[in-house]
This record gives sequence, structure tokens and C-alpha cells, in this order.
Amino acid sequence: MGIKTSTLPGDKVGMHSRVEELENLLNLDSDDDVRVVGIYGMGGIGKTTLANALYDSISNLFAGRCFIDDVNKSYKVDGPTEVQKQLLRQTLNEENLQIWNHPMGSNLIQTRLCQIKSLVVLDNVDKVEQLGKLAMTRECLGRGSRIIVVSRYDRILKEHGVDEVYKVQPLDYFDALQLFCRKAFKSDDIMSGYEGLTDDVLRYVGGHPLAIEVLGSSLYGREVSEWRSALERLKKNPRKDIMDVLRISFDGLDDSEKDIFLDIACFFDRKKEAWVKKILNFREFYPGIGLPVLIGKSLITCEYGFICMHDLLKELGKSIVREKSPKEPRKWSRLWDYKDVHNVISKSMVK
Amino acid sequence: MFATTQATENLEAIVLDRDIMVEMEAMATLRAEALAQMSGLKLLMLWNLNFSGSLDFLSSELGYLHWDKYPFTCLPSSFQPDNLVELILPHSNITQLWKGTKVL
Repeated sequence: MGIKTSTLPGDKVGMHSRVEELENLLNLDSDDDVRVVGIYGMGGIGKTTLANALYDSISNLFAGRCFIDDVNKSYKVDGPTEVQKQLLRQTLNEENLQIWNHPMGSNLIQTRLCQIKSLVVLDNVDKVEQLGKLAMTRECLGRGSRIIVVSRYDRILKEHGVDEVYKVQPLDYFDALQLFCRKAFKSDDIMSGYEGLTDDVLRYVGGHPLAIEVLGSSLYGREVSEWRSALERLKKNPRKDIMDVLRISFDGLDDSEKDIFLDIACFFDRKKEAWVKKILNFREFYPGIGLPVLIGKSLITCEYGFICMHDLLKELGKSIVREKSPKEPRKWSRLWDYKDVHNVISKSMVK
Repeated sequence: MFATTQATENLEAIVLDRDIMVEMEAMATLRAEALAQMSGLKLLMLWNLNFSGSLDFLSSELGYLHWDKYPFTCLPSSFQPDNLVELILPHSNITQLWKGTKVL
């Protein structure tokens, strides 16, 4: 059974007007200076989708182009030199360019990019130091260049000193409705008999695209009674916490599907599908059935043969593993963090 | 002597990400005896950890064991690999899988 490559989360609903707003902030007509624009907003609000849509729309205006899709992870996995290498290889379009150490990377960035009008997008920046270590000041880049920094945290953008900040807003009612209908009815319109329910659901979810997508997908093909019980759950969520909305979809899974969800959240994001399937099979979680269910519910995607899960859903999964005893990792079903493994192993030994 | 103080029977899977750079505190040496307490362990994938001590027991539930730099010369003789599907021990000190004979 194959897994279909899904479209980007959130599709393109509501993207057009946002891309236009960003293009205005970027002041694309001016080639005199280098501008840095920050994009921020909560997890699942659509920052990456927007950054991708913007890149598609304007990258042809630049001679050098670079999109680093997860700066935070690249730092953790490969360190600053690898991030510099990605930046230089993409911008200069030199696939084989070698960098042996951080000073050499910094030097190349400061000397090789200044003649090129470039567009550099840095997605998922988690700490301001990650920008500092890149050693790419605006003076390094050619005239007319644009740098776009994407982060959950606006303070990082302010600390770094960007020219403009763009906050990604929740979807308005009509965009939220359109996205919801595509997921819940696989159509652009509300299915008859579901008008009132749709209205109620959207009122509780707000305009959060990931929540709309996940909840909408989980309601696809469901009876009115199941919609009502989801609504009851939403009404008990006075804080309008997105995690609680996502949780409704998790709770609707059967046991094996829940286990697959938790394994992927804790261990297997961005791992090869065939390998993950092999391990889930041995775990007796029936991935042949479960993975397509999770894809259908927008909880995971499979892209280029890799299993992917949104950061916010990973946080949900990990919090579910921790929830009964948040401070006692030895009671959890799964351990994924070196620190927790140390904690458990040290505490189970007493002289 | 070491004694059990806290059980870890809920624990069914430990999978560490080999790609994550390990911070200094994680480089400290761990006592392998602790793994003997994890009686429900089904999936164990370890990277970048240093163990000392001795390993006398591993969960017989264990089905998938991937241990980079396994520090001992053999697997615990009490280990019942009834559920074992894959055993991957790169860079290990293994000289023989078990002491004595094993009915598989």
C-alpha cells in the first residue's frame, strides 16, 4: 500500500493577500539597500507555508537564491559551518563548494556574496545566536538583496535588528471556512445538514490553519453525532488552547494508530518511510493501515519518502507521553532525549 | 552493591537521535545495570552513550536492539531473545554473542 504525497499543510488558502502584504514590506522596487524582514507567529499558524509562497512568488527577481528550511535543526544536527555551507552553495549555485571550518565559512560569506543580489530565507530560527554565527550581516550581500527571517518569537527578530516585522495572523472567517470545507467535506462548500455545526466548530477553533486542517480532516465522513461530541469537547476548552483542539483528533484514533502517532512524534519525524514502517511493523502497530489513516487525518505527511510531522503535533505527542508524570521520565513509555535517559539511568542506581 | 530503587516497567522504547550533537553532560559514563530494570523494553536504539559496569539482564520483550559501541564482550547470558527481530551492534566490543550455548 503506497502513501500519497500530500500537498503542503494549509494548502494555499489565504496566502495570496499575505504574500502581497509581505512584498510591500520588502519594498522590492528599491535596489539601493539590503532589507531584512522578520516573519513571526505561533506554531501551526502557517509561517513556513507563507515563506514558501513568498519565495515562489519573488525568487525570480534575484540572482542568488537560498531557502534554509529548518535553521534550528541544521544547527543542532550539523552545526554552524554546515548552515554556512548551505547558504553559500545555494546562493552561489555551487553544489560542490567546500568549507572546512567556521572561520573559512564566515570569510567566504563576507567576500563572495557582496556582488550578488540575493534572496535569503532562514526558516525556523530559534535563537538569535543562530543568526550571529552565520556571520551574514546585511553589508555582506549585494545591493537590493533581501533577507527573510522566520521565527516563532518576535523578540529574536527585534534583538537581531530587522527592518520590518510581519506577524502572521489567523485566517479570517472566509478563508477558515474554505480550508475547513476542503478537509471536512473534500469540497469547497459545506455539505447540506452541516451548516450550523460547521459554524460552531469554526467559532471554537478560531483561524488557526493547522487546527482547522487537523480537526476538519478528523471529521471527514463522520456522522452528525460525532460532530456534536467533538463540539462538546471544544466547548470545554475555554482557554482556546490549540493543543486541546489537536488532542481531539488524537483521541479519535484507535490504539495502534495512537502508538504510531506517539512513536513518530518522539522518534521518527523526518526519517525514511521504509525504515519507520519496518520498525512499526515489528512493534505490531500495523503501519500499513495506520500510516494512511494518520495521513488522511493530516497528522503526518510523507514527502519524498520521508515521514514528516508538524512541530506542534510533535509537541502534542511528547506531552501525551509525559502527561501522567511530567517530572518523572522513568514512568514514561518512551524516552527520546539524552538528558532524560541520563536522569532515568542515574536514578535507578543507588549505591 | 546496586539495588533497585525505582522501577521503570512502563518504559517500552528508548530511541536516541544519532544526528543530534550531544552536549557535554551526556558524555558522562552511565551504569549499564540500570538497563536491567527496564523489564518491558521492546525497542532500544542507543548512540553516543558511554556505559560501564556490567549487564546481567536485558528484557526478553526486546525485539529491536541497535546499540552503537556496545561496550561488553557478550550479551547477558540470561537474555532470552524470543522476540528479537534485529540485532545491530556497530563498533561493539563483542567477541561472542553468548557464553555457553543458547537454544534459539
